[in-house]
Amino acid sequence: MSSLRSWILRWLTTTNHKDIGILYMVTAMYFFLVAGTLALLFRVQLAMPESNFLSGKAFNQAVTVHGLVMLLWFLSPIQFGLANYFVPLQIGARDLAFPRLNALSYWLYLFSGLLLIVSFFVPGGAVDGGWTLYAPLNTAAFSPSKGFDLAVLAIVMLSAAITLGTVNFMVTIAKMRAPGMTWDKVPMFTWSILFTILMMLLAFPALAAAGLLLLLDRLLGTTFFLSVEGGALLWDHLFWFFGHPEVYILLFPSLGMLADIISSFTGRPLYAKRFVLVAFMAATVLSYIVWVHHMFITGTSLLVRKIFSVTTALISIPFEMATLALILTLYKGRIRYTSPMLFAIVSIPLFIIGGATGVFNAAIILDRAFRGTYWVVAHFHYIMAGTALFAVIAGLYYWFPKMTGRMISEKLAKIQLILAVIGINLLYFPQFLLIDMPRRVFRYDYAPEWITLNQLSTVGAFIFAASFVVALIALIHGMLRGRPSGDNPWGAWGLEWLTRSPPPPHNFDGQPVVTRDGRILIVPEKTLEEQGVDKVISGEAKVSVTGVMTPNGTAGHQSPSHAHGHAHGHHGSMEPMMLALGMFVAFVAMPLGNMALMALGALVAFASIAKWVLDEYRGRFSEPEPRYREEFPFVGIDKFKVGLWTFIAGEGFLFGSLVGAYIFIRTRSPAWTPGIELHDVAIGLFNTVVLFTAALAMGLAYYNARVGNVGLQRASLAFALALGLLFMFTKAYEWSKFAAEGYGLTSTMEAQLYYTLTGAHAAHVLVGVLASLYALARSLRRPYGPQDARTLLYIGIYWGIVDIVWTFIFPMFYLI
Amino acid sequence: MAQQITPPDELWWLTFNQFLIGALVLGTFVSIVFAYFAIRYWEKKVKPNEAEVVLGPGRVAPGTSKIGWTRYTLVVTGIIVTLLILATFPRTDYVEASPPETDLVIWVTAFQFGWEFEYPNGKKVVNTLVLPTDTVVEFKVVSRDVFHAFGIPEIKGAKIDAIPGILNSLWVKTPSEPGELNVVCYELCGVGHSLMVGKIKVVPPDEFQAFLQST
Amino acid sequence: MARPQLKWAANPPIAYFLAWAFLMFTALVEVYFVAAGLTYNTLVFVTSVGIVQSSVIALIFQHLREEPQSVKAFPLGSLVMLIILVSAAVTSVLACTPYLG
Ligand code: HEM
Ligand SMILES: [Cu+2]
Ligand SMILES: [Cu+2]
Repeated sequence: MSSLRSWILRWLTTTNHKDIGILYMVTAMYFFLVAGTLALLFRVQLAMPESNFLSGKAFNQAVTVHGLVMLLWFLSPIQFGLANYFVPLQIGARDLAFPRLNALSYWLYLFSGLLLIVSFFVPGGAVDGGWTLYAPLNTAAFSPSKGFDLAVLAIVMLSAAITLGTVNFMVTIAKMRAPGMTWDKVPMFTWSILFTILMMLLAFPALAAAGLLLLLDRLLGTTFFLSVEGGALLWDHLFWFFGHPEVYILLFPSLGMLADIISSFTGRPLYAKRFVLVAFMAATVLSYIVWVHHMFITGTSLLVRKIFSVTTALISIPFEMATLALILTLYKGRIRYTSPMLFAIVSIPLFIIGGATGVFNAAIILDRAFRGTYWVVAHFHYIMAGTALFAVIAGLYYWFPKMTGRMISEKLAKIQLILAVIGINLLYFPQFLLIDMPRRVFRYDYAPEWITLNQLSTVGAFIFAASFVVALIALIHGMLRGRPSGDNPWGAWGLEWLTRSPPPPHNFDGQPVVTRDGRILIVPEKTLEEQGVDKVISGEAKVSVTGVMTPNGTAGHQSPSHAHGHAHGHHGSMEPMMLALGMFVAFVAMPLGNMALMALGALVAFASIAKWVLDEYRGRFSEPEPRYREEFPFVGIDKFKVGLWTFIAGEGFLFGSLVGAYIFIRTRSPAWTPGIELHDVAIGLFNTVVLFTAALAMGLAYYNARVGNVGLQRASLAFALALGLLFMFTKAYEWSKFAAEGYGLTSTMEAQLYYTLTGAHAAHVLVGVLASLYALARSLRRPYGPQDARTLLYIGIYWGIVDIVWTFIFPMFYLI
Repeated sequence: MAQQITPPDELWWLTFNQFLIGALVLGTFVSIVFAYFAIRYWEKKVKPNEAEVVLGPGRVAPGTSKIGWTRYTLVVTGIIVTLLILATFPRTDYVEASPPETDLVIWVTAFQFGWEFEYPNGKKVVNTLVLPTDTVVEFKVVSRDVFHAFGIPEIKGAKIDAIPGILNSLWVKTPSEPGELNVVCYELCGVGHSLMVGKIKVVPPDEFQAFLQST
Repeated sequence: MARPQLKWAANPPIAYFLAWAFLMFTALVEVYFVAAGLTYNTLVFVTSVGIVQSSVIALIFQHLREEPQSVKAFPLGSLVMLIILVSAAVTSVLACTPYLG
C-alpha cells in the first residue's frame, strides 16, 4: 500500500527529465487515442453522403478537437517527450537546465489538454470552429458554447507551457553539452529540437496573443475579432504567423530522429550534415515569412501574396536538401532493416509526396482550387500523419530498449508497419482526388462522384487505426515480456547508448567526454581534474576508458560508487503539479462563472508559486551548473541570463503581437480619435517618469550589491518597489477615473485597445513589483553581495523590458 | 466577344499540368535513387567491399560537409521551382484582375447558411442562381456574418473568401452547354456549413433573359 | 572563462544617471513637441523616440552593452521578426477593398 503511495507520489513530484519524458509520452498517447477515436467517428460519418451518424454540431466538434489535439497535444508533446528523455542523454548532460520548470511545463501541458477534454461536458459542448478557429465565428456572438472558452484557455495555458519549455531546452542545449561535444558533433535530433524551439519561441507568443484577445472578446465583451477593423483578417495574420512555423515545429524533431536512426542502421554519418544544418536554419527563418500562403484567397494585396508565394516555393529547397541527405546516407552503408529502420525508411517516400504537393499549393492560381478542400488535407496528412508520425514511431522503437531495458517484438512491429503503410495510403491518397470536396462537411449528397473515394478513405482509416492497436500491443508486450535488451542492442552510435538501460538517475557513471576524433569516453571526474579536459578531448591524455563498448555490445560500467559525486539532489516537488492543477480549476470555473471555484483554483495556484519562491529564497533546489561542459557561444554567461533573455524574446513577441494588432486595427479605422484627445498626457508622462526612475533604482541596487554597500542596496530596492507601486496606483486611479466617466473596456475600439495593452503592461509591472519585493525581503535578511548580485541584474533586465514596452505604449495611447 | 476570352480554369489546368510534370519528373528521380540505395545497400545484398561502415558504438557522428552532386540537384530544383512559380504570375494577374470584358456582374452575399445573389437589375434570388451559357460573369462577394468561402467545385479555381467587411471579386466563364453547377462554402462557418449548398442553372441566353425579366 | 571580467570600478553608476537623465529629457521633449504640434510626422517622431529610448534602456539598464553578440542576438532577432510580421500584416490589409454595406 505504502509502496503504491510512494509510486504515485514519485510520478506526481518528479523533476527528473527521464521521468518527465515518460509522462509526456504516456499522456500524448492518451491524447492520441482520444483524437484518433474522433477521427474514426467522422470517417464513419463520411462513408455515406447523407449519413445521420453524427449531427452537424457533433461532426464539427469531432474535426475541431481532432485537429487541435493531434497537433498541439499529441504530435509535438510526444516528440518533446522523447526530447526530454534523450536530449540530455545525447549531449551528455545530467538533466535539463531547470528541472522544476520542466515539471511545470509538463503539468501545464497535461492540464491544458484535460481542459479541452472537459469542454465536451460543459454547456454548449466542445469547441467546433475548426482547428484554425477562424474569426468571427470564434466569438461568443456566433459560438456561445462554454467549451469554446475552455479551448481558448487551454491554448493559452499550453502556450505558457511551451514558452517555459523553450527556455529550458535552449539553456540545456546551448550550455550543458559534455566536454568535446562541439556543435559539429551534436546529434541531429538535438539539433532539430534546437531549431524547433527557435520556432516555438516566436510562434507561440503570437498564438497566445491571439488567444488572449479572443478571451477578452469572449469573456469581457470586446470586439477585436468581431469588428470589421480587426475581425477575420487580424485573426488570420496572428494565427497563421503561429500556424506555419507550427507545422515545421511538428516536422523538425521527426527529421532529426530520422537522421540519427538512419545513421545508426547504415553505419554512415548523415550525408553533408553541415549543409543539412544550413538548410534547417534557412527553413527556420523562412518559416516565419510564408504564412500568407494560408490566405491566398482572402483578397489581400496581390503583391504581398506573390512575395509569399515565392518564399513558399523556396522553402521546399531546404526540405529537398534534408530528403536527399537522408537518402544519400544510405549510400555505401550496410543497412540493417530493424523495426525502427523500417519505419524510418518508409517515412521518406511519404515525405516526397507531401513535400511535392506543397509546391503545388505555393502557386496562388492553383491554390484557388486547393484552398479549403481535401487536397490540402491530403497534403499535410502525408507529412504529419506520414513522415512525422512514422518517424516518431521509429524513434519510440529505437529508444524503447534504452527506456525499458527490453526489446519490442519485431514481428508485431512489422505487422504494424504493413497495416500502417496500406492504411495511410488508402486513407489519404483518395483525398488528393477529392480535390473539389470542401473540408469539414458532414454531407455531400450533391456530388455522388465523391462517395467511392470517401469510402476508400474510411476503410483506410480503419486499417491505419488497426496498426496503432498493434502498436499498443507491441508496446505493452515489450514492456512486460520483451526480451532483455542489454545496453546497446542496435549497436548504435551516440552517447545515449553508453549507459545502462534504463539509465540511472544521474545518467552516466562518470563524466562523458567526446574526443576530437569522435570517440566517446566516460571518465571519472577525477581523471579530468588530473589530466585536464583539453588533453582528454584531444586524446593525448591516458585515461582508463570506461565507456567504450565491449565486444558484445554492452557498455563497460564503472561501479556506481565512482559516480556518487554526481548524484545531485533530485528533489521531488509538488509545486509544479499543484500550480497547474490550480490553474486548471480556475480556468474550468472561469467561463462557467463559478466565482468560488475560481477563487479556490487561484488560491492553490498562488500558494504553489509562493511556496516555489520560498524555496528559491531559502536556496533549496539550486542546481549546480556542470563543471565540465561545452557552452559556446555562451561561455561564461550564467544559465539564468541565457534563460532570461530567451524568455524575454518570447515576452517581447507577445507584446509585439499585441502592438501589431493595434497597428492593424488602427490602419483599418479611418475615424480614429488620437490618444492625445482621449487620455490625459500628464498622467501618462508621470508614469513614464516613474518607470524610468524605477529602472535607475534597480541599476543602483545592482551596483551597490557589487560594491558591497548594503545600506544603499536596500534603499535602492525599496525605492524601486515604491516606484512600482506608485505606477500601479496611478494606473488604478486613471482607470477608475475613466470608468467613472463611462469610458469602459468595451466603449470604443480605442478604449478596447487602450485597456488591453496597458492592462497587459500593468500585469508585467505587477510581476516586477513582486520581484522587487522579493529582492528587498532577501536583501533585508541576507544582503546581496558580489557573488549573487546577478539576481538584481536579472530583475533589472526584467524592469528594462517593462520600460521598453512602455516607451511604445505611451505614445501609442497618449500622443498619437 | 466572350468567345475569345480564355477562361480562368483553362489556365488553372495548364498550370496544374506543368507542376504535375515537374513533380513527377523530380519525384520519380528522387524515388528511384532512394529505392536503388535502399535495396543495393541492404546488408543481405551489399558486398563487403562496397559498404564503408564508419559509425558505430562509442562514437558520435562527425559534421560532414561532402555534398557532391547534391548541390547541382538543389540548384536545378531551385531553378525549376522558382521558374514554375514565376511562370504562374502572369496567369495569376490575369485571373485575379477584373475580366477583360464583363457581361454580367452578380453580387453574392454569404450568410449563415446560404447564398443571396443579386442581378444588375436588382433582382434577388437565394441559393439558386440562373446564368446564361458562354458568358463572362464577375461575382462581387461579401459576407453578412462570418467567414465563408464562395466556390464552384465544377470550375477549377473559382473560389474566393467571403469575409465580413471586405469586398472580394472573382470571375468565371460559364460553360457553353446548358447544365447545372454547385455553389459550395469552403470555409467552416458553423453548424450549417455543410448545408450551404447552392445551385447555378446554366441556361441558353434567351431563357436567361426571360428569367431576368420575370418577377 | 576567457571573457574579461566586467570592470566595475571603471563603470560607475554615472552611466545610469546619464541614461536616466537622457530618458527623462527625451520623454519631456517628446510630449512637448507632440502637444505643441512641432512634429513634421508624429508617427515617425514618436517611433524614433521609442527606438532611441529602448536602445538606451537595453544597452545601459539591461547591460546589453557588455554582452557578447550571442546574447544581443535574442532581442535583435525578435525585433527583426516583429518588423516583418507587422509590415506584412499592414501592407496586406491596406490593399483590401473595404465593404461596409
Ligand atoms: C515543401 C514544403 C511545403 C510547402 C511548399 C507547403 C505549402 C503549403 C501551402 C501553400 C498550404 C496552404 C494550402 C491551403 O490552405 O490552401 C499548406 C497547408 C498546410 N501545410 Fe504545407 N507545405 C509544405 C510542407 C508542409 C509541412 C512539412 C507540413 C507539416 C509538418 C505542412 C503542413 C500543412 C498544414 C497543416 C496545412 C493546412 C493548414 C490548414 O489549413 O488547416 N506543410 N502547405
Ligand atoms: Cu503554411
Ligand atoms: Cu461555410
